[in-house]
Amino acid sequence: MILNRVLYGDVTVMNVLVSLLILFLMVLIGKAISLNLKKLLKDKVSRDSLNTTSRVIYYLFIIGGFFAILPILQINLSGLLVAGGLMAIVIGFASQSIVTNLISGIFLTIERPLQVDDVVSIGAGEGTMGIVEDIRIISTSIRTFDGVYVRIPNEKVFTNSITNYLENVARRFEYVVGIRYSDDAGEAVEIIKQLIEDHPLALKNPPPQVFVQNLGSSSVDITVRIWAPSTEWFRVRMELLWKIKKTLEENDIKVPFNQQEVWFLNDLEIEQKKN
Amino acid sequence: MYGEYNSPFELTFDDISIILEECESGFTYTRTKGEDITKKNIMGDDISVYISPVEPLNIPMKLTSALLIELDEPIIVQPNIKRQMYLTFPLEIGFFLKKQVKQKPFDLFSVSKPKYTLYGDVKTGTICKYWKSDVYSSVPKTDLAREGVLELSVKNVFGDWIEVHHIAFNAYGMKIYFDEEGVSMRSKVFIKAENVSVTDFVDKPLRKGMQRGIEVFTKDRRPLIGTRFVMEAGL
Repeated sequence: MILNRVLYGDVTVMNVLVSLLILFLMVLIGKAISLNLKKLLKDKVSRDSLNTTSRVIYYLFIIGGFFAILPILQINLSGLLVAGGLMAIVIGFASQSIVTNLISGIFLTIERPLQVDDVVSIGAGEGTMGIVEDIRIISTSIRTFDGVYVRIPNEKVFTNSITNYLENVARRFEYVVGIRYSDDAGEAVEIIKQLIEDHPLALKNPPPQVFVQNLGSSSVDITVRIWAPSTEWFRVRMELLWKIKKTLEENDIKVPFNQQEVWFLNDLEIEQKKN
Repeated sequence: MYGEYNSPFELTFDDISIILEECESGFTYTRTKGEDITKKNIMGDDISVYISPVEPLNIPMKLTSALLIELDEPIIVQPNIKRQMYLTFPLEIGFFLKKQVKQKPFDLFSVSKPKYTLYGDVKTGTICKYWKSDVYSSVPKTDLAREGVLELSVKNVFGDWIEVHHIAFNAYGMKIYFDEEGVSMRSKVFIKAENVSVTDFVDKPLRKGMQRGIEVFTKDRRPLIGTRFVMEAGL
């Protein structure tokens, strides 16, 4: 029978099939346990830790399955060590970038400059900006604000500059509001302070700052500095800017257009033409 | 004001009116505040609604589980002493459907103005819901829809005088009780060092006969979360 055909040593086709079955079952059980763990602990553990834990469990089952089939396939690990040494050099050269990414992934997990759901920018300048979707062993995936999926190899993440916008719990933003010289700057400051006080997400502490910072060529410039929770700062920034503009205008305080006074050395002779 | 209501009914909280009326498919719930209207359709034959004060950390959003109460005048506490005082806390009102397995409110509102603050520094601090309260030596009279009374048992185990400006609490420990006179919680504060204190709650009503309110911040989904708040960034 084909199942009893010897492939090498005492290993038959049956042994190989059993080994494959064991490996398949271990993968299946590992997947099932990691999925159930994710479901069970979804609300109790942070998404980041849960992803790492479930992945570790999954890989442990695969490694366990691998070691379980070695005696069935009559593979002696001590023999493999010699061959493995040579193979390691060959594989090492071939998979240099994969290993670099893997090690970078391990260091990223230890150092934790970013976590799942953080808003980050990776790379110089604007870089790749978005929400961290997953930190895998080889790569990190990011969902940009326009909904694009970006996969960045961990080596690039680790060696590039990372700006994490949610690392601190609060964040400050600033406006410069220009008003006319004829407007009452004191009144404008009081109106802006009241609007900030009325906004629930503009933090009470650290206190906001509203002050005249500059007497510009066309306007009196009022600087407004507000702290907001890092997760909500953009919303607060948008809402308050519009409210400040509207409320100042309702109180007849307006943002001026650029102005320039021109003086002539000689009197101008103005001619008026009649139709 | 709080408790169980059979449909249909009409209620008023400050400038907010609530109407639960019958319609063809069941009931229509309408909450109106000026031009702001919240409407929900509830399918069912015979419903009763339970109105309960809940932890004041849900409105405008569930951003944090910490409440910071700033004292209008700071209090100075003698070393190795235990004293009681009373503060107020903001109220949020939850509407629950009776016989609901998971007690999740179908509507929540507050007549108090919400505000947030940061306790500690921007790196390690905590975003807290903010409230400013006077300090009372006896139970103050409060507006049943707007404020509750917080009994504070302060124990200074630190060997020096301490000035307290604000106190922070963890919503997962809050035990709210209510009756026809008011809403209350009981808490304790242990001052352990110059800048360190621990706050927690006591699961007992302020008066006999008070009913226990429904909790929204329940530990069952997060069993590892504690009920205390450790203040390490100053008092």
